[in-house]
Amino acid sequence: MAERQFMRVRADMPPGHVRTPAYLRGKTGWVERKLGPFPNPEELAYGHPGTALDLMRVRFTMAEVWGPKTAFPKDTIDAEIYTHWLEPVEPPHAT
Amino acid sequence: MPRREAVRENDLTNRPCMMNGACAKDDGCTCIATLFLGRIDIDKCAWTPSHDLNYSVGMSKTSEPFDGRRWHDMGGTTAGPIPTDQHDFALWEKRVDALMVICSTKGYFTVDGLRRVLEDMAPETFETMTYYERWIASVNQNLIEAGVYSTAELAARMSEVAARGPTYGEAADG
Repeated sequence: MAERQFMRVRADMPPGHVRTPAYLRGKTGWVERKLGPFPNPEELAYGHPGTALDLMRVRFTMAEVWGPKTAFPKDTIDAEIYTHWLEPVEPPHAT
Repeated sequence: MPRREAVRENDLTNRPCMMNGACAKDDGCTCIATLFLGRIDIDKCAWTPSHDLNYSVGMSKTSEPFDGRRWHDMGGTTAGPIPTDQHDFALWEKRVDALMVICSTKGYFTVDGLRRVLEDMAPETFETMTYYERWIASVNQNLIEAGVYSTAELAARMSEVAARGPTYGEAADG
């Protein structure tokens, strides 16, 4: 099994049209799959041609998103996030 | 632009018809212009704010509210009960939906632009305007930005349509 590539979602809070939900900003997950390049919707939204950016499906644990006291901490949620919102990080529990 | 005042309340069952019953012989709103003039048969619209797609994301309570979160970015906030009842769309709502498809197909703007303008609306519009009322306002804004028509052209067309009378029946007789 390939090693998981962990990504941290940037914690930015800019005004304007962005495509990364606030509840995932600052959270760390791993790349479930690369979905391929798509025009950046954050540019398309203003009538500009969208720069082709890779879109990643990132998987987060509920514990990561909502904290360790959440009802089902090992359940996961997938979110599709453009690479300009993602920063590669070391695995949180590297052996 | 003579946008109608926001009169909608959460209880959609106890509102007077904005058309004072005149809409009974109509199919509802007939075009963009009548929508902006407030001639919407909202009693035929069963769409309530809580049906909005934004409410379908993230039902959990967040433990750490974010500073700078924009009002539409509701994932993780308390949503309350989710209505699951089905409803029909009014004719004007179907037309708004079709108009968006046409605009996208013609390359005037994309769904991203639609979303941008919806998100830039004031927070209270989520409660005071229905889903497709917000859509048509956004479609109009995007079309003006794209240069498809000017506000002057829109104003002239709205006056022209208003002069036809509030219903298809009156327009036909005129």
